[in-house]
Amino acid sequence: MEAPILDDSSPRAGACRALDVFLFAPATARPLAALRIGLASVLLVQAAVVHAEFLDWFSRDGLFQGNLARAFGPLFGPRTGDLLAWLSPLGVGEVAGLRAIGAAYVVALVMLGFGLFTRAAAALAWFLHWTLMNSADPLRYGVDLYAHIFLFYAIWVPVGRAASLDVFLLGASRAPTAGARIGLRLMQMHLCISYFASGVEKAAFIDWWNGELIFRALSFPGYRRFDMSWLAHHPALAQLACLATLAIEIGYCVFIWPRRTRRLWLAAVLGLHLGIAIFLGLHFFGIIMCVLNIALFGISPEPRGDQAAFFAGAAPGESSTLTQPGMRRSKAL
Amino acid sequence: MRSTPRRWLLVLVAAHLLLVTLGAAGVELGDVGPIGRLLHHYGLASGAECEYDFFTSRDHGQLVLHVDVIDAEGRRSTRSLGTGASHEAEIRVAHIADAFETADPELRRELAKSLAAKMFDRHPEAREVVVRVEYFVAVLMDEHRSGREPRVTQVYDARFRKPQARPEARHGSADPG
Repeated sequence: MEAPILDDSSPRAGACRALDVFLFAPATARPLAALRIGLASVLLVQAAVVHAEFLDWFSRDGLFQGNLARAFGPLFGPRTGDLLAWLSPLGVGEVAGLRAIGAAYVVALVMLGFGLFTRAAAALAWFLHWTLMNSADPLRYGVDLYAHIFLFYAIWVPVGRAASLDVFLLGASRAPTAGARIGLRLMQMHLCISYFASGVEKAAFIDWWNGELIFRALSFPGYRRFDMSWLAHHPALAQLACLATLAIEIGYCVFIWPRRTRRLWLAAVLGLHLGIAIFLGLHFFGIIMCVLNIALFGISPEPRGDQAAFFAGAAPGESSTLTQPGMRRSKAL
Repeated sequence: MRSTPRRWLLVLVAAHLLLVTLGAAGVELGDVGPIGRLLHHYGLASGAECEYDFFTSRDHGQLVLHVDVIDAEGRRSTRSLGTGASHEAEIRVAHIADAFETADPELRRELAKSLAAKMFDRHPEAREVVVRVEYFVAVLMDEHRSGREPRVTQVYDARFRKPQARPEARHGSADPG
């Protein structure tokens, strides 16, 4: 007979129970599927947009000739040169080898997007993305870091358990699982840490408090998309934008969780990233951050019936299909 | 935490998030013995070691890379290192300027030579290629209102003449300014 842990009303037992629900209450993989499809789509569009540069960026007679690419970036990690060395005994030349790597990356992303052999596709996409990122280190920026992080998660988290060919063709279960919940929580907390770290780092600079930084960033040749010099005549507006950025990033890890503030914070952070995409021209960075936020905090992981009760504000545990008797559902998404 | 597998899973998740936090705080684990190196490698593979210091530079400036192509008649034009096919590609090649921050003059020279070689390949009419890196210093809002313009300082300049077989440097002044 199972020990009556759930009837234990001590604070410690209550805390354990709440933590258990928060981390392991069975969840659907819908947010994970949204992440999978969104991430794969953004990376596929990015690949299509930059495909003309592919050989220039990665071949030995491209922008980084000879072994120059190895002089930049981390020493650890795969590079296209390593893969080409493996392929050369098969008689595959550099150009053909690079095209094969690029094609394999695209195929892996397509399979990931459709959710076909999802884990294998995620592993291949992650490995090739890491390889390409390492091989042209001077070209990388924030979008690559986030893509690398979440492709890695896609290998381990059940991102293929909803809206996937694995479900429709191969019969993978769509049933809510504890694995989906803990995977979702892990990625949510990673996103919170990243925003908090970014916000705290910014807050150490006076330029983020007086509004100078946004004026400066908008005037840099690398980011200038529009003539924003008029902002100098409205310094309060620049300061407000900087302070709002600090508040959104530092407050994210707190205000994205409660239902009352989640929508507001989600809207604010989406606005921030759309602003970055439009005004600084960092389109893919802005879009990938929107995808991550919408998938991880904008889509309910609760089963359909439960979701309706969840958003209707039903009492905890009431008409729930995923909770056990005496067990509360997680109030956070 | 009702079962052992869940406990282990929780330990793994907590350890991973601890690495994420250390990475975000800029803690270098690679220098902390063999286990530190192992964690450093895991951090690189998983992305747990990433820092999130976007737009936090203390400097008021940005390095900007220019590549000038000079033809046989001496006509000079500034060309992009990208093919011009997309804004995304232009953003990425603009980041190459940051690679010139490296303290190693030989590496900077190799990079400039490599970029020049690519430009000779792409522009057969080129007789010389000049690789320039400038430091663009933005002005404060107050300064802008009083009419002050951003300053541009040259920090690197290397000129390459078209070779017979491969690019050869005529001179490569690598003055870090």
